[in-house]
Amino acid sequence: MTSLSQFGMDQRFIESEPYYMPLGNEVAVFRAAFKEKLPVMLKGPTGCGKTRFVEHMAYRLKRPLITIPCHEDLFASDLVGRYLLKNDETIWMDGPLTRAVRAGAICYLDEIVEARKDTTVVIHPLSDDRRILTIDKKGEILPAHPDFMLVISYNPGYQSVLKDLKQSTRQRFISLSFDYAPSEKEIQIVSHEGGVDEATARRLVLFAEKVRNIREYGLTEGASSRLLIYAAQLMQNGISAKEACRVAICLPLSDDERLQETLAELLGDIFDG
Amino acid sequence: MVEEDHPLSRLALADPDLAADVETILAAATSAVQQNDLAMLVQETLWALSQEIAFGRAVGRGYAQLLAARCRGTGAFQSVVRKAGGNGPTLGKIMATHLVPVLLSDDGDLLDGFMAACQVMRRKGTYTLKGPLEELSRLLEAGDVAGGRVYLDLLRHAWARELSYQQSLQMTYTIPRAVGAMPPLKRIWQMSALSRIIQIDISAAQCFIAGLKKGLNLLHEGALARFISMGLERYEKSSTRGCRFLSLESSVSIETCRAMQVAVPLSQIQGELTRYVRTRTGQAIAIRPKEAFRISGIPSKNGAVKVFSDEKTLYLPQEIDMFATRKENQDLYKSLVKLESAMLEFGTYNFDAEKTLASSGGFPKTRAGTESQEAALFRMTGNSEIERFLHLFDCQELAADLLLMYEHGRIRRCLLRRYPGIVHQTLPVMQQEMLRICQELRERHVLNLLYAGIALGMPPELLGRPDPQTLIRMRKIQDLAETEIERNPEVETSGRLLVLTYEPVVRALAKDALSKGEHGGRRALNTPFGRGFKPGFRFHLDSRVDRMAVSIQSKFREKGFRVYRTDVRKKLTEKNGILCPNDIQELLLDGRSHGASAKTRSGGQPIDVSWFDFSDLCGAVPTGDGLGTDPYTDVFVYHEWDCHLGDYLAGHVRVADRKARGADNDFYSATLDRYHGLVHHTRRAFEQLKPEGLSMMRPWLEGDQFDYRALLDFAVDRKTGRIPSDRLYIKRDKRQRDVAVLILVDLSKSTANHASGSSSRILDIEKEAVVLLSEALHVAGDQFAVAGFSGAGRFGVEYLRIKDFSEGLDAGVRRRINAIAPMRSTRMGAAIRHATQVLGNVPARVRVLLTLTDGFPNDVGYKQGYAVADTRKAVFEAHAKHIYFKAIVVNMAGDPNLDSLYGKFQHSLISDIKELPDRLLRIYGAMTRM
Repeated sequence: MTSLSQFGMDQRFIESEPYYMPLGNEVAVFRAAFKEKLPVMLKGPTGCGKTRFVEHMAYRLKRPLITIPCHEDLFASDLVGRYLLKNDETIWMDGPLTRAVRAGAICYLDEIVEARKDTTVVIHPLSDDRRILTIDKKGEILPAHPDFMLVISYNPGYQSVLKDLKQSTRQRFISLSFDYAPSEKEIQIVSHEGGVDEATARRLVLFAEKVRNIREYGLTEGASSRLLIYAAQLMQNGISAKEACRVAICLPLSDDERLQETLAELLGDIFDG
Repeated sequence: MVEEDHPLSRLALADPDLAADVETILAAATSAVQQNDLAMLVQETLWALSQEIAFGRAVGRGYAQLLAARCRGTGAFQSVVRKAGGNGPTLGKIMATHLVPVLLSDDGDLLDGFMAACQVMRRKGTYTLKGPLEELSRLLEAGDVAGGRVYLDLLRHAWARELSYQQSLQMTYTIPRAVGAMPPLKRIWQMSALSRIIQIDISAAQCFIAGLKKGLNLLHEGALARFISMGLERYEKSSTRGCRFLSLESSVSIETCRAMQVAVPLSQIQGELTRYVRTRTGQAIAIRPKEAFRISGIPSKNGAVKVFSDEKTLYLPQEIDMFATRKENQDLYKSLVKLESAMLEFGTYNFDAEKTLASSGGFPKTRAGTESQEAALFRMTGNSEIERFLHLFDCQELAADLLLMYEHGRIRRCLLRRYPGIVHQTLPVMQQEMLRICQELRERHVLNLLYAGIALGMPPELLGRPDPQTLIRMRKIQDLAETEIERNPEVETSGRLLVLTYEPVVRALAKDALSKGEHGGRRALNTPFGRGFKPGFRFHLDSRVDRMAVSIQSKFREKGFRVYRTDVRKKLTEKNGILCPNDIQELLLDGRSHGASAKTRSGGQPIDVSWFDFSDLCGAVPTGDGLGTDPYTDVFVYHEWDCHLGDYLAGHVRVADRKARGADNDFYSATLDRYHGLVHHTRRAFEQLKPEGLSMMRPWLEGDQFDYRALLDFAVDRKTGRIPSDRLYIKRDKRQRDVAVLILVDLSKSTANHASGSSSRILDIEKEAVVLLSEALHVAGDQFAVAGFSGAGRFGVEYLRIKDFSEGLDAGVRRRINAIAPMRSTRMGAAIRHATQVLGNVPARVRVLLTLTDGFPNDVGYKQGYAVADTRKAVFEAHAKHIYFKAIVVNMAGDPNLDSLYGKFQHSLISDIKELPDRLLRIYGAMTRM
């Protein structure tokens, strides 16, 4: 553990087991990929449990986890590291990716397509059999720790065609596809995470299924399991079921008034009485 | 032919056509017409013919109708017509024509009213009679005698006033037209209201007629009377104000009318209800009005079905004004929709007669006699499984009523489990109505009481007092229903209950005096608000699938296998009507797992289905119709994917690529004018998409200039001992947006349809969207082309170039957009392949193919599964060439098949076409944001 603490990785371990309910063979595949040092790509709609899955696997594999949410201003140097001035001295500061490579952590790049193009230059040599990180500014070529693992996620539904993931990037990853859990499992998830009884969870999931029926108004993704859990949590705090669903599910999904009316009607059907 | 000594022979000499007519009319008489009556007919007709031919013919036909109906009014007819004829043949003809329906109605008051009205109107001139009396005849022929009386009063009051010739002439048009437009169920009180105003002033009446069209027709009787009183009060003070009020021109009157309006027409709430059903069931289910049906305070005693559904449609009354407030009436619509859509959701229409029979273990009495019940059932035919099943019972009407009752009970139980809110909202309303049917309308017969107990969960004693023995029988049935439904809430349970209780119910009905109908028949079930099975039991719309299911089932039967028709149907629908050997295996295994297989075999072993002839199940091989080609067009040949073959058909489709013709109209400029605001707004939004050559990024890690604000922060951070940021530069970046987009518009025939609630055609709205998108793309600087496609057969696909990539948005392009018009059918795959080819030759980093279509592909030999598979293949081919594909589907309800057609993320659905122009811009903007 000393080598890990020297990279500041102590806090990156996940202490208690994050709840995750496997829906297929994703756990076994991930474990095998870890063993064989293969990078993994997670695809799926928002709020279906991709991040939770990575956390869960980091716990099970007993590796620290570094999560980097990608955005338009994320440079390669934000990942790799940079020289900084400190009291008239320049000091090198490792970026999160470099720290993960050194320490053998799982590095999770969330919504990779949002990052700037130069980040791919950094990722490519790490995600094939070379497993190296080139630190240009230091002239260093850093071989990855045997336990280092790169995981990226992306949501195929909503990007711009100008931002699609390139084939050269896609074809370096093992891909796991995620979707909302089948209703019986989703009931268990909502019940566990939201702390509500099974009957309430069943109603929440039923409502989510109805919302997923709406394919207009840009609602290609429907209500995520995350929103259902939020609603359940609100209900735990004394908010009525209808109100909890309204604020946690209906309002975040759409601004369309007519759609809100229909959803309110369905809420009444499911939760009244 | 008329014999020589027959009285009609004289008439035949004078006018053979008329004689033939008369003979036909008399032939329909129930009993023979007496000779002296015939003689009178001939004599009077000949007299009238001598005056004028048209008059004579009217008289002849009139007498014939009266005699055929054995009407007592021939004497009156004779005297009135003689007198009228004396004043001229025109008047005579009018009387001879329009008096007949009055006399046939056999109503003394009506006749008096007719005579009085005619007398008054004639004073103004014979010209006043024709139009108004024609409307009267229409009313009477539709059987509305009461309406006829009120109408005659209205006519009498109208022409009793002092009128100028112009006014009188105008009224001969406006009054009949206004009455003709009144809905039958509201006609009487609306006519009375008109009559009331007409007695005060003619011009006020004209205003009222205008107001009726604008919204007064929605008012209830009392509300309309109050509204008129308010209008007349204003009219007394100032005729202009009064007129504006009555014709709903002032904002006060519109507000007042809206506040008074309690009736809710379906059209007003249809959109909301459709959205609800679509969201709840996830299926494209339509809501349609049931013509001329209205739910009002007077429920139909004859048990007419007013609310029903099938697989794809919910039918509701055109209007509801049952309750005193608008909200309650709206809620009733919602309740009915919620309950009816539950029938679809909980599988009422998946009823399977054979499954039911198997689960019931046979029943006591069928029409089958000695034949086995199963064989009897197999022989039965019907529009649906439910009808086939009902044929097994002696009295199908009773069986249908009972099945409906158990179904409603079962659905209540299912709803309680899944949607307690629906039961909570709807049950009290339904119970209240049932109470009213039983108590106010005194329909307390056993069937109604049973329905109240089983379907609505009401104790039967609450509604009526059947004798103790009947009560015990009813309780037994109710208890059985409760337990059975609780045990297995599937649709077959209702059928099973029908089998188990049919005989006991027949016995209970025989003992119940209240159940006897007027003519010794049985009183029908009265459900609240007339909910029932669809008349004719036609629940499935795709009869082709039904026929295939029957033929597959009988093939299996011959081989000794048993499969259920509903299972086959389901499989066929899932697989778009094409089954493969695996599906047949599955069906057989399913049948076996239900324990229904007639042959017992070792479980889990695949069954040999080599004897099954699959050729029947595959669609016909598509054939083209070999259209000739225009020498001035380029012709391209493409392959097509045949899903039955699992391979491409090489050189199968011929695409003719030609430049579209232009037209000189102002569509383009008019669209820009109409969407002035949107054009302005999107131009600005799209300008932001446009790269500005160099974009400045700050604070940046590297660059060619310092960012002074960042330098200041840097100095401050250093002084305070914090580690300063290294983002100190400004960088100028040359941004490139290199997008080429091809907009492909579907020009199929269906785009000529009008968009609902709009006077524009679907294609016109699509064209508007193309105009706006073209303008926006022009601003954004993206390369773009526009093309349309249509076709007839595999040799006749047309690809019309409207704008090429190399062209600017010039006058020629505008003229060609103006000229876009609906053409023939949609062979989508070939059009996409050609567009891919065109787009593939454009040098651009990102290429987008955007299709605009209003439904599924359809052409000669290019239907359903075949068309979907080929189109999907063409989309894949485009992907393989690095072309992004997006389909915008307009004017249709959500359909899960769209996913299989285009892929989950490759299409956007816009049900309400009116939103297209705005949405298309937003979709494109989001798709290509940098």
